[in-house]
Amino acid sequence: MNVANRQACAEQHYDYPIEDVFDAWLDPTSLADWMRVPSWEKGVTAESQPEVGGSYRLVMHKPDGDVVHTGTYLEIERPHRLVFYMDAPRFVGRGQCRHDRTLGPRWRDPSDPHS
Amino acid sequence: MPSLPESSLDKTLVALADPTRRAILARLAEGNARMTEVAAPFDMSLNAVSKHVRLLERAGLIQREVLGREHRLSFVGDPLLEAGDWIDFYRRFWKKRLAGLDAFLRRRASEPNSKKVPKS
Repeated sequence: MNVANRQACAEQHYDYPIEDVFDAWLDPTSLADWMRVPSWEKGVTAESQPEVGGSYRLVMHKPDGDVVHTGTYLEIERPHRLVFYMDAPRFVGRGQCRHDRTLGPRWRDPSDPHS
Repeated sequence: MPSLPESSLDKTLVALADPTRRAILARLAEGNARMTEVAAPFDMSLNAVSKHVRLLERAGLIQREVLGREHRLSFVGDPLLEAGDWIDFYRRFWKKRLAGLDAFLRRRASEPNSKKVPKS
């Protein structure tokens, strides 16, 4: 199935400074914290080189085996725009879905008309 | 990137990714119909509609009963449940993770002396 041009949008409002929200996506320690699934005791291991062209690796330690997310950063414009690829070949262990170079997140600062 | 074998979910999503096929399903969801009845509202040849129907059939969304020269079509909803479950899983997963981000930011905000995330 060709999904190259498919898009999915999610909107979420956070009542915190936009810099904090932005950094939480880039800083590996923060990512490992908030991406944690509470019932997966071993938590999340994250490492990243937060620069354009840099890569990240986020491993969610699911009890029946690790779920690995990897990708590279395409655009980093703190705090308004962050674009990265995401590959998660296994993800939920259902063997039927694949994240191919998904782009996300692209977000908008409501106070900035140009974002 | 190695490609995965085509699953029933792939077939369902491909089948749904076309407005004509969705309209055919919507028609059949109201009740069984003959091929000619299904094709009637569309501004395309019976052959073209028949191709869409075959694709829906392969995806398991339509069942065909052949009675002499008459082809009776009926809607089968099961594959839609699977697709719905799949979408639901991701919706729930990301809803929880994004709620986790909110909780994380709240904790940060309530720790006045917390070390700030270093600037990238």
